[in-house]
Amino acid sequence: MRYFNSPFLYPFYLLYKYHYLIYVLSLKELKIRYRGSVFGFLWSMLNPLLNLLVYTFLFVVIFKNTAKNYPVYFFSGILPWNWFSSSIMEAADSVVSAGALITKSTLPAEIVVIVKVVSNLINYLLSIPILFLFLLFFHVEVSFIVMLLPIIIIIQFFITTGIAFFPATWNVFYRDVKHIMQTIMQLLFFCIPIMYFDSQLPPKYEKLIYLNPIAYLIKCYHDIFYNNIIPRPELLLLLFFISIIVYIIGFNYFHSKKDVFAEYI
Amino acid sequence: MSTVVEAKNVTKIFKRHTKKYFSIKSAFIDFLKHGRPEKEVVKALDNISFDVISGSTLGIIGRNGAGKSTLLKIISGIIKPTYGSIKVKGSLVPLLELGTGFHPELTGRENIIISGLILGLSKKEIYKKIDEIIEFAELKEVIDEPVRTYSSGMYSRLAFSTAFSINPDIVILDEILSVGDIAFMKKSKERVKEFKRKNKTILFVSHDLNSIKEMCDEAILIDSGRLIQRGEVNKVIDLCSSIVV
Repeated sequence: MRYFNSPFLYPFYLLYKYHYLIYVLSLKELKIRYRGSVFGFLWSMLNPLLNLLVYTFLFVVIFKNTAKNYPVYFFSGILPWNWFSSSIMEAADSVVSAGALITKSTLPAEIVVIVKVVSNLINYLLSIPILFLFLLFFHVEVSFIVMLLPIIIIIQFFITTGIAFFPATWNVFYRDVKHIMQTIMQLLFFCIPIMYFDSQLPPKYEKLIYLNPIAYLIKCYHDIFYNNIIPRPELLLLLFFISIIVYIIGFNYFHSKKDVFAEYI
Repeated sequence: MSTVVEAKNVTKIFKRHTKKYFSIKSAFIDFLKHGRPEKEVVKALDNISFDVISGSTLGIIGRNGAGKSTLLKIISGIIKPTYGSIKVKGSLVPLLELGTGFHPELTGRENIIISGLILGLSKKEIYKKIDEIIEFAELKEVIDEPVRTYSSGMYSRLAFSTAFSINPDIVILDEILSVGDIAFMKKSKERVKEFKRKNKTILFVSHDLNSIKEMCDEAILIDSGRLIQRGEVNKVIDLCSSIVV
């Protein structure tokens, strides 16, 4: 048991120990999001579908974007981006809005942050069938490479959670943080080739932009869904290590500050 | 007879900013004008030491704002003492509020599962106990309805039954016994007594001095963050009454 308390293992042990609670709380988030609606969970699929139709109409019919299968490119990138940015923005407010869960129970506070990432992950997973529908519709070639998706999702889960711990912590002390997150996310969005292609950038920026691990992560999604090529294995491995390290650092940072959370909420 | 909870010179100081900032802007402007903000120091607990023997029931009494809840939170590990130390042996579940984690839009059944998991029950234990919990709460007919449709009595009954499905060595009860109608209150007191019979250690806070008398072996009186007296229940209660009045 002593090993599990080490700063390197505890972040993963907690995921294992509380996996069922995390799962149940994440489903609760979605249930509450869609409460009272006729379609319920179906909205997690309907929303991306309707978005897809609007953007396809806009880009293909109005702007006559000539890039091949542009909607597929856009959507294979924007869906995981939405998972990332919604998770971070919701996590920023998660500790403060958890209230009695922090001030009156002994539940590890890390869980409320992780739950935000997982509930948005479920949301993303529900939108994947719609993406496949579009792949079929645009006759995009899909191969076994798509099997890499779970690996990329795991990488994104750890990197997103690791990052989310920082705004979640800061927002306890300064409630401004959650407001500024939206602007930061918007800025980050335009720094990543999601709406545009990296080839459209001036060459000197093209390299620069991939210093951002999230940009490279999104590129992996483009590779497997749109370009139908295998992401470079050594970079995928590097990305995996980065995500684990970011998760461990974020978790321990949050952990080191959480003793005083109950006094600030 | 071993000591399961040991508090040694526990002091808790809250530093309250004389002005409370919740934004960077106002903190920054004030910093420019006046330098580092002055802090007002509030001693919520002042050098409290006591121990609790396994299997005993200790009542904690005192006026509002005397520091009882702070003490319970420190024993639970939710907040840390500024000075001193707390030692707890065995599993401890604090019931500082009924229905922590409840959401009005979810059904009674869903809330039992979430709340039970939050209290530290395993998935297996919950599904084993859920029928018993529903039975005890007397809510069989409405258990799959959203909790927002419940009356406040039904809500408290559900919360109470869920909370008392736990099975720790030490349990902390903060003012949660006066729930439901008279029949249910009787039932819930019986539940607490069952805990006693199972030789569990109970820390019990209540303003209802009669239930303190009924439940506790011993009591401590806290006032303005200081431990005034510890001893036999009736004596401590008499002293408490003289302070309050």
